[in-house]
Amino acid sequence: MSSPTSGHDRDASWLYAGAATLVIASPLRHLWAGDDRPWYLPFLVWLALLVGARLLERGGGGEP
Amino acid sequence: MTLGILGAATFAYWLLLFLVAYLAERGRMPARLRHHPLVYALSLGVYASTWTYYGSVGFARHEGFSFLTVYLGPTLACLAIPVIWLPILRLTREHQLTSLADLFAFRYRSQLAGVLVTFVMLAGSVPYLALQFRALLESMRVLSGQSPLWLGIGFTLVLTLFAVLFGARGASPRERHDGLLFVVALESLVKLAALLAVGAVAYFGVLGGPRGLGDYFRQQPDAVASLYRPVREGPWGTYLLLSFSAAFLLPRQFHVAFAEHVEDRALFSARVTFPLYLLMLNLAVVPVLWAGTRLHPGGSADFYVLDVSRASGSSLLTILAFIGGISSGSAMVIVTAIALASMCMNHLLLPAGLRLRERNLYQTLAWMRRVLIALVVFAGYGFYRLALHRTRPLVDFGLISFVTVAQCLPGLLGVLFWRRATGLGLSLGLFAGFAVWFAALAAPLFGAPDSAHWWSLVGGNEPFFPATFLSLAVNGLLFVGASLLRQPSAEEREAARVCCDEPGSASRPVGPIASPDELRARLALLLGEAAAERETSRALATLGMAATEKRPAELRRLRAGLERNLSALFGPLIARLVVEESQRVDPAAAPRLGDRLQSLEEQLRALPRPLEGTASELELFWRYLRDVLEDLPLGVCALAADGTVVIWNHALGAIAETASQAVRGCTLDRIGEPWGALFARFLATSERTEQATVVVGDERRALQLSKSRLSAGAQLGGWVLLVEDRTVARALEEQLIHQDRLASIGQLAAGLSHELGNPLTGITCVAQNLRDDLTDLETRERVQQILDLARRIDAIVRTLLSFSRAGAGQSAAATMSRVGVGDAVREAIALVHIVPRNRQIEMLNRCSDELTLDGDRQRLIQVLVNLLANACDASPPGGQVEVTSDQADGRVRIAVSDRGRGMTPNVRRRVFEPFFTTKDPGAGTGLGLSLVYNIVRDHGGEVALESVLGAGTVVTVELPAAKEPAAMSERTP
Repeated sequence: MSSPTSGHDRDASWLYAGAATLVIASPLRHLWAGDDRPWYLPFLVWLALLVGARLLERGGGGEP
Repeated sequence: MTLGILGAATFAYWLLLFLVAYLAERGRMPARLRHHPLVYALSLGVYASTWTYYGSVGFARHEGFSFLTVYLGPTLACLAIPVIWLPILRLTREHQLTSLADLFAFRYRSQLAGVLVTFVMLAGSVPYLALQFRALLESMRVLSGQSPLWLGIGFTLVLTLFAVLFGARGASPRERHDGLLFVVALESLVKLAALLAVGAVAYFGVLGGPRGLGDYFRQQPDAVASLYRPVREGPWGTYLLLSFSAAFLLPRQFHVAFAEHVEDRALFSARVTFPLYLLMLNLAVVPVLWAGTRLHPGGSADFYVLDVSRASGSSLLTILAFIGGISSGSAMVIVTAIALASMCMNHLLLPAGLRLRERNLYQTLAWMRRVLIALVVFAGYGFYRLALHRTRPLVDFGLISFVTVAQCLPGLLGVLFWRRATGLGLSLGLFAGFAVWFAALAAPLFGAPDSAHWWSLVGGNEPFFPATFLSLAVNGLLFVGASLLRQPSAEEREAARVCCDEPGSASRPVGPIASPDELRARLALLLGEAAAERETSRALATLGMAATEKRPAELRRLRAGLERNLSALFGPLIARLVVEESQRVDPAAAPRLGDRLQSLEEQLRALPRPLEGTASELELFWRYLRDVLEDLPLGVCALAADGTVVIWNHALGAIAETASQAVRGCTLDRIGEPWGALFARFLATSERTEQATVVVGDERRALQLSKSRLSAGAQLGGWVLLVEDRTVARALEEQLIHQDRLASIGQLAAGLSHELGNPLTGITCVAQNLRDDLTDLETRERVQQILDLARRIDAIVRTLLSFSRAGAGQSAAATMSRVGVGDAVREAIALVHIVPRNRQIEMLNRCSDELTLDGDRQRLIQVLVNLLANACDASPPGGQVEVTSDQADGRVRIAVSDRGRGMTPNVRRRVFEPFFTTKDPGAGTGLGLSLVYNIVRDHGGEVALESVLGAGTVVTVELPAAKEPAAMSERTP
């Protein structure tokens, strides 16, 4: 395979995807999924994850 | 709203799509627009089908915010683009793979794997296609109250036509379909715009904005809590896992994400833009749900989107909402049909024995794909008509498909991360997982008793968590267990290394192919003349290779290129079979040592990260030994036991004027003359060393060859040959012999002239006395002739004596004197005429006696003798050599010209080099012109040479003219 992705990019992607999975899929989701939370909070959490991904890209873990 | 209006709107919308696709396909749109990364991200939006457009609201009603999992899964998948998507993209691009079935068949070297994946995908996709037809036709029924049969058939025909026109233009699905991609991206925008518009109406119109929403919450206090509850209690994780895998495993996702000539840049751009698109698409779901509940509390939430749009009272919004649904369904059906057709073709039809040697192979393949596309679309519609359970929510059919597709997740992880995985493990796991899926989810669709009581055993009160858990657990366990039971085959190991981005083993052996043309001829036996010609030319053009290429390494690249191109047409396994069959290579044959060595070098160069520990030390040591061999000032040629060249170092490359790349991997009989024959003959003798003379270009080279058989300890055997270029040393030896001979001749001449001098003086004195005493005129005249002849003999003897002294290296003792050019030329001609052959050449002295030089007379005569002798050698018997002179700017120019055979540019360049000669061995030393050059340079002059092959040569010597007599004094140089 040609020009493999840099190790840094791969590690950062693993880390960030893992952190995002914790927020979304683990019991930690109860923090943002309480009955008294505003209805739009899941969308804000989602948006925050995307902003983080964009910042990660710009910080060097981005395009090859 | 009437059926006519909806039909007209649909027709107009599709007309627009056809037009846009046509313009994009024909390049009538700017390339920057067509290839913009955003187009790629939006085309990934094909993920959002009618399930998203209509079904999300229904899903949200039953399972609250669980509907978001269907989009949060792809979001997580996109965050892992560098570790999952990018390796898949590079594999599919490098090996021209068009589908997941291709990828599995390539990695697991198993046709069965390809067949199983195709079946799994078909089984998972046909109900999903049916779901689109159901949503499209029911949306028509919701708005107009009718949905006639012909409408469904019309939908099917139009979608088939679009897929065929813009997705199956040629024989290969790897061709870029700009029109298709652009339209899919456009449809993503249309459904987003429609949903946001309906969401805005729901929020601001039906619910009354923030204040109205507050009132709604007071009326429905459980509205928000009922959304959040399933997040904590429902099968949240299961849905996330299913949608995570569906994001890149669904046939339509795989096709758009990897098979459409995607660039890395576009993929990375989609990392955020695609999830952002999904987020925006879902913003409207909750407001539409609440608005729909307020409008039709007891109605089907699956079509709240249409209900809300109708409640706005705007026909335009209703039509937009309806068109949004059409765009969601049509894009999904079209891309899925194209992707499934490609799988069916490569893994069901072609392996089933299709004859590839068709008259027009490409047209046949293209038509087969078109027919398969039509069959897939009609299968979806047929499933909807015959089997689709109309009372179940839309989301159920989508989730059933997701569970099927998820069965490929263990296999894909094996492709990317587990080298030990085998085709057997994959097939067993896939089959078992599929069986569980069928029993748990598919069979109830066809009326089998629901197995709800089973689910309680594994802790589920709904089917998807237990079905997913059980099917993936059985699948994964069998996959791992069976893979560990049996060692992977050599082919599996090789493919695993390629897929896991690790150094592979040696490349496969190249069959007995001597040229691209021969490869083309053999390919023609399998594919037909036209296809073989086209594929070979395409591979040559892609690789920038000449049709006359014969180097084994390049032929290996050509084979790999051909295999890649054919893989796009037939799939990886059939392409491999075709290429191997065309070369008649035994797949089990061990690669040649040269190939293994070269492959190892390539892999070490391409290592993604440096080796560590002992491997690193070994690599360093190996590089050191290789450099020693390569930089040895002796030519080294190592031959493997099968007679192929393994090592051909730089020195041998310089001696033979043949680069290592041209001969490595070749047997001796395929190496150009004279080397192959020379080495083969030498290896056949019992001598360990041998002297040989070869002609390389225009030059004769003296070589010393040595050989040694490699010890058995190397386990590889073979020979090593040393080649030493002894041309210069041999010439020096010959020069020494020549100098000795000249010195002997000089001594002989000196002795002879001394011995002849006395009697000659006596003869001259006696003849003079006799002439003076005689009175008879006739007798006096005869005696005078005797005197003239005696003086001539004396002149010859003196000249011979002086020349032999000069040739014996006595120039240092010579003195400077005034030399007449005409006189010197005459003397040189007399000397050259001593050789009998030279007397056949007419020598014309056209030099003026008035021109004079200051210099060592004997050495200058030697210059002229050498030039005249060369001119005579180059001239045929009866030829003419002319010597002319002139003076200008204080310089005298003497030109010796002949009309002989002339010289080649190569000879002309090297003619003044010491020991360079074109004469036969023993006929010349190669020092004549070198001596000329040195003598002339010692006299402050220059030598120039002009020669035309076949027309003759002119050598011009330019020397300073003699100074005024007063300034002239005798000195030593």
